[in-house]
Amino acid sequence: MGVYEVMEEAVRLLLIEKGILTDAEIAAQIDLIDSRSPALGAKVVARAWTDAAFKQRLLADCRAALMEMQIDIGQIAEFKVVENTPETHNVIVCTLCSCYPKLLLGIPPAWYKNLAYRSRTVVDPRGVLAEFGVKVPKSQEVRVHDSTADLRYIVLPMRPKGTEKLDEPALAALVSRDAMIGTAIPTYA
Amino acid sequence: MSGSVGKPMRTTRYRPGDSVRVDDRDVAGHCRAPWYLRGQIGVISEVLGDFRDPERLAYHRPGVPRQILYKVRFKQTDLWPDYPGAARDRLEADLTENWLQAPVSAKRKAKSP
Repeated sequence: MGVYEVMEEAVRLLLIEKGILTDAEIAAQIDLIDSRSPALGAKVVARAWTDAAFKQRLLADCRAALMEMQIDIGQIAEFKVVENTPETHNVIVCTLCSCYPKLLLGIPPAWYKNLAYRSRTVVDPRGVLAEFGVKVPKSQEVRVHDSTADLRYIVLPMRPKGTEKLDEPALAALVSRDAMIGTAIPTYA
Repeated sequence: MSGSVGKPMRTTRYRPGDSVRVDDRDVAGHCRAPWYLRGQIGVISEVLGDFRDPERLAYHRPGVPRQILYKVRFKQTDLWPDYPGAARDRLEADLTENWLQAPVSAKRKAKSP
């Protein structure tokens, strides 16, 4: 057992012993965190792609728009959606720590918390994106969002061409976790 | 932003479009202004809300006075002299009002990104 595991167990048992939390509450919170996955974020993206009014509400007030989909982001942070357009490609990073929209995307990938991603994305975003296979033309602005405070960012990717006839579940299947971080672009063959 | 984390806005010192300079003071302990932005000039792109001060919350204090949080946009070519990308590229960070100043001299004023 490492030092952090020992610390976690000691604090958890103390919180239970002192009646601040119960076993059941901790188990319920773990279940909640485990139930979140990029599939939830993908559902939100697919809704925004198919419902222009919803998209506007999502961009203007993410918390309220997500409540329409019965997604409660809780009190820890605010959420903000940034939209990719032909003029702008957005990419998310947290240079100070590893802030991440867990309630929409689940547990972050290891590379997102890695010092190399966190430092290089602000210095050379196009280089980092190219390593992910995303080549952004020089005519398109790359906009890095360093989530340094109380907001958690999600990228709304552009809807791929040729998907006009797809329904929401089929569209959601095209949206990867990385597409919502900005390190991938959804495609449709 | 209507969430309960960000409370309704009091008067803000800066408005979207204003040039601001990030303070370059040294801080011991928890700090939310990344070093690479200190002393840099950017433009307010959005007023995000009124939040408890994370630099005080970090030490179990109530986080008051609350801080207006701004989204500040920087030109990448201002931040990094050898920036390898495109001149149009931008970086945005979320900074509290206590880290921002009006740029001192007109000479240092950033062009609107």
